[in-house]
Amino acid sequence: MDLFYLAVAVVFFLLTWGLMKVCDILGNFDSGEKR
Amino acid sequence: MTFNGIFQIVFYLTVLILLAKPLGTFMARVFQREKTFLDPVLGPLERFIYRVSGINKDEEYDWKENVVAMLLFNFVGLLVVYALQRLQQLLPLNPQGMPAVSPDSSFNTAVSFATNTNWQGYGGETMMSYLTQMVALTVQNFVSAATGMAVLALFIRGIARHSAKTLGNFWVDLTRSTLYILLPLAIVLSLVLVSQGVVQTMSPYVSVPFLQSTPDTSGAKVTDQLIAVGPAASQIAIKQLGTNGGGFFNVNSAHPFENPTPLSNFVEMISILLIAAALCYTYGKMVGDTRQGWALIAAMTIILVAFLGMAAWAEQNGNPAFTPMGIDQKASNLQPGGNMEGKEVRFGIANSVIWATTTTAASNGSVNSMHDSYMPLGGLVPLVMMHFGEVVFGGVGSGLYGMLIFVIIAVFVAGLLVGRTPEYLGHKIEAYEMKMASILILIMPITVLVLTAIAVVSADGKAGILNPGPHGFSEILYTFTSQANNNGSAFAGVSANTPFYNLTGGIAMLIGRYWLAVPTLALAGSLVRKKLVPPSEGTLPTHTPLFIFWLVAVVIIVGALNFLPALALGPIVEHLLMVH
Repeated sequence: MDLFYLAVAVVFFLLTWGLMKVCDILGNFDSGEKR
Repeated sequence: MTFNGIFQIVFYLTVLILLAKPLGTFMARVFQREKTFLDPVLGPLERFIYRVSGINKDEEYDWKENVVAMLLFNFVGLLVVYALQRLQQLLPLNPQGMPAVSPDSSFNTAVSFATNTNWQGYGGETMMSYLTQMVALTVQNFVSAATGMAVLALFIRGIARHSAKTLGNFWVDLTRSTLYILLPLAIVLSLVLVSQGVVQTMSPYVSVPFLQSTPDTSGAKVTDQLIAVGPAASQIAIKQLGTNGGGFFNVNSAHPFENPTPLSNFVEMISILLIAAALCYTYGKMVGDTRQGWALIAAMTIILVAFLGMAAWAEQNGNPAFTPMGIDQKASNLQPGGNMEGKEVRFGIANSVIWATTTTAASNGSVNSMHDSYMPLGGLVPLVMMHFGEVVFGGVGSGLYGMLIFVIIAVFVAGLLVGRTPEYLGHKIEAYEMKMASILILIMPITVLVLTAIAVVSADGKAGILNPGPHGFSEILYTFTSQANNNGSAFAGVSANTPFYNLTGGIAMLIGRYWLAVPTLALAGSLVRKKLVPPSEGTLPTHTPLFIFWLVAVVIIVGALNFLPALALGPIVEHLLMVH
């Protein structure tokens, strides 16, 4: 069971990293454009 | 409501507001890395921490680098808390010989303390060793609160700066929040609490002989009682200041060893909102216009007072079903009157409802009375305070950045209504900001409502309900509301220490913390890049009474749109059934 809960935590933090990437893509941050 | 009760509420709010300016000024100096009176003592320690952990304090990160730092730090913290619980039977400082905590409970508690929720599915005095309480739980009380403050500091810089890329350094803000703000305040408060009789000892539990033996449920003679003690004061101080809320003992601050006197009760109540209120002033200082901070304090106070008054009214009026029975529920010199079920006689109704309202306005979650025993409308108030997203003062850091999201929404909607270009403190509010704000106001309600729906239709969810009907629904709704808002208080009445509730609750707490922090920092990352838009005749002032009331309306309307149907199935229908 320890591995199961560890896996839940790892998957969640990976999803959160994915959310960060989505926010990044939506914001087009790498264009360097200042609005 | 009695005069005594009204006086105590007014006195509480007055002291709170008076403390906001001096502490807020000090915290602004901490976040802006200006000199403070604590530098001679804490400066060398701060530099030592940077040196051993390889942090370059002068390096600044963009929003993504700060997000990664926050997630890494919190993930490691979560693993440490989990491991300490699972291994506590092998570790020192376990005089009662507590066994390992179960995997599901360990997961729930680790998530709970890493996310600043402090939901407690466990009983502190029956399940946790002293080492676990101190190294796992109390340490997380500090660093999870400091995480919220660091995210806020980064967000404020996103508003204060223009045409920039970086927001600051998460590690530096985390370290300075802990060292200069939380630690000194916690030491002072611990000493005050110890002076009032809160226990602080590493001794084993104390066995006390009864004057007269008594039979237990099986008829066996019981001659003594084991009284739980431990290093409680140090944990309680930070649990209040850091809006953590996790009690050393199972009944939290209703326990006489956690909260023994009226003075300890008052300072603990002040501590719940102290940093959150002062951070509003800090915000004003950091953006160069303290009127912005006072406007936020005013909006928060209006909402707090309105709902505090409603809770006090509901509890002081008592239960109308008792009136035909001839039961006297009027306050007098001999009794507090009203609904005293689940409340400590030494605190009475006023101090119970102040605590219940402030602990749920903040993401604190400590209790000095049992919310499950409140009248339906009295119990609705803590629920609603959380349904607003805990932005009424809120958790340290998280409450203010939550309220600033509502400010951005209020500015945007006001701009739509009157045809002005939405601007906030020199930043144009555009599509990306509104996308992030929309995500931020939708994630929490979706999490709460979906998990509540799953619980009320699944066998595992229903198995935990101890009360039938609308009250049972309220209990489940409260459970997930509390966890998804990182509050941690329990309505009680649900057997939540089960694999189902531990897993679903753990997921709710994780979403409620990190899926809000990430878009918040992304929004800050967008704001900080924008060019300064000088104020013009078309700029909506955001410090006026008009805007304050508009902001209050936006918070209440968004909360009502999200949760009114669910509330109608719980406390509202329960109230109607009672008065019918």
